Amino acid sequence: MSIKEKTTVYLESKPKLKKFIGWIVSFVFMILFFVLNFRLLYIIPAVIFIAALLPSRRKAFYKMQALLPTSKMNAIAMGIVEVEGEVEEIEPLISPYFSNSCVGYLYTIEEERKDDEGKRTWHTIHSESKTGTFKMNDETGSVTIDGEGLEYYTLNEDQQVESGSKRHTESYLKSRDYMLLIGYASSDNGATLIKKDDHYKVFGIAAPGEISIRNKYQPLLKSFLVTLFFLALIIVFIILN
Amino acid sequence: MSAQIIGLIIGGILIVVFLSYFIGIFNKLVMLKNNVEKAFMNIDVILMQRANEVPDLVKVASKFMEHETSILTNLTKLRTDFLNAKTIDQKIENASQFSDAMKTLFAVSESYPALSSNTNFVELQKRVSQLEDKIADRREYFNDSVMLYNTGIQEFPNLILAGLLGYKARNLFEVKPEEKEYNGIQL
Repeated sequence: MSIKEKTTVYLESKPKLKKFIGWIVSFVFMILFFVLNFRLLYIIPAVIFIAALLPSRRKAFYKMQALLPTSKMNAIAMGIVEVEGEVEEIEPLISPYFSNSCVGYLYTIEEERKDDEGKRTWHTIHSESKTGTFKMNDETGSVTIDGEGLEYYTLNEDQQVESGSKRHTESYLKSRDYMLLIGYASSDNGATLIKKDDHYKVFGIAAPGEISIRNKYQPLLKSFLVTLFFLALIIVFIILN
Repeated sequence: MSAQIIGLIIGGILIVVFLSYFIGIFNKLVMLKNNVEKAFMNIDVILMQRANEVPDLVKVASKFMEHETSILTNLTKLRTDFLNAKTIDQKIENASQFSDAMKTLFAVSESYPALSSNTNFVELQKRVSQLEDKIADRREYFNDSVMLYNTGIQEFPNLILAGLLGYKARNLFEVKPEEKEYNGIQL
C-alpha cells in the first residue's frame, strides 16, 4: 500500500480491440469523406460549436465569478454573492477513507484496468463530496456557510492510496484555507447565511489563485476557439468548392 | 447532399451561434444591471436608517444650539430631499451632502459642552457613526458593481445591445479625499 500526496496522472493506452475499432471507424470515415465529397468535414466546426455551447456547472461558476464583485463579509447583500476569505471550521467532518478531520471532502474510488500490453488505466467507480457548516472570515467580519451541496472546483490538499486494484483519493477543505465562494446569501434569524441557490444553482468554492490564472488566460482561449470555429468553417467551405 | 442543403446547414449554424451569443450578452448585461441595483438597495437601507435618525437628532440639538438653526434646517431639508429622491443618482448626490451636513453638525456640537455630553445626543452620535461605517463598507461593493457594469456596457459588441436597451453608464458613489482620512466620529 503506497500513499501519495498528490494525484498521479497515468497515460491512458488503448487495448488492441479498441485500436482495431478505432481503425475501422477511421476507415469508414475516410470512405464517407470520399463518397460524400469530404462533406463530413463539417463535423469539425460542428464539434467545436457544440463543445462551446454545452452547459456545465463549472462554466456557470466561472461565468458568475467574472460578473460578481467580491463582497466584504460585513456588507453582503441578499441574493447571489461572491465572498473571499479564510475558512473556519464549525462542524468538523471525518473523511471516509483516511479519517482526516476537515471542513469538507471530495472522495473518489478508481478501479484499475489493464490492457493486453499491461498498461494501466484508472476509471472512477465512486465519487462523493460532503461539507459541514463553516465560516468564512475576512478583515471586516465573518459569514456562516451551509455547506450542503457545495461543489469543489479546486482544493488545496489531496491524499491518495493504492490498495489492490483500487485507488482512493481524498481532497480536503480545511480550516485556514483561503478560498473564493459563490452562493446565495439569505437572512437566517437576522444573521447572514450563504447556501445553495435554487435559481442559479451555483454554489461552489475554488482557490482564488487558480481563478486568477483562469481569468488571465480564458479570454485568449475563447478568442482562439472562435477563430478556430470560423477558420474550420472557411477551410471546409473552400475544400468543398 | 446538395449545395443548397449545405448552405442551409451553415446558415442554420451561424444563426444559432449568433442567437446564443446575443442571448449571452443580453443575460450578462441584465445581470450586471441587477447587481448595481442590488448593491444600491444594500446601501439604501442604511441611508434610510440614517435619515430616520435626523428628527431625533434635530429635536435634541435644537434645545442646545439655538444659534445654529441653519445647520439643523439644512439637515431636515436634506432628509426631505432623500425621501423624495427617485433615482439612484439623486440619492447618491444627496447621500454625500447628507454626510457633510452630519459632520458639520457633530463638529459644531463640540462648541456646546452641554450638548456633547447629553446622553441622548451621544447615543445618536454613536448610532450615526456606525451607520456611516456601514455605508462606507457597502459603498465599496456598490462601486465595484458599477465598475463591472460600466465596463460591461462599454465593451464591444456589448455596447450595441446596451445602446438598444438604453443602458447608460452609472455614477460611482465617490469617496472624497478628506473622507479617506475619516475614521468615524470620535467619542
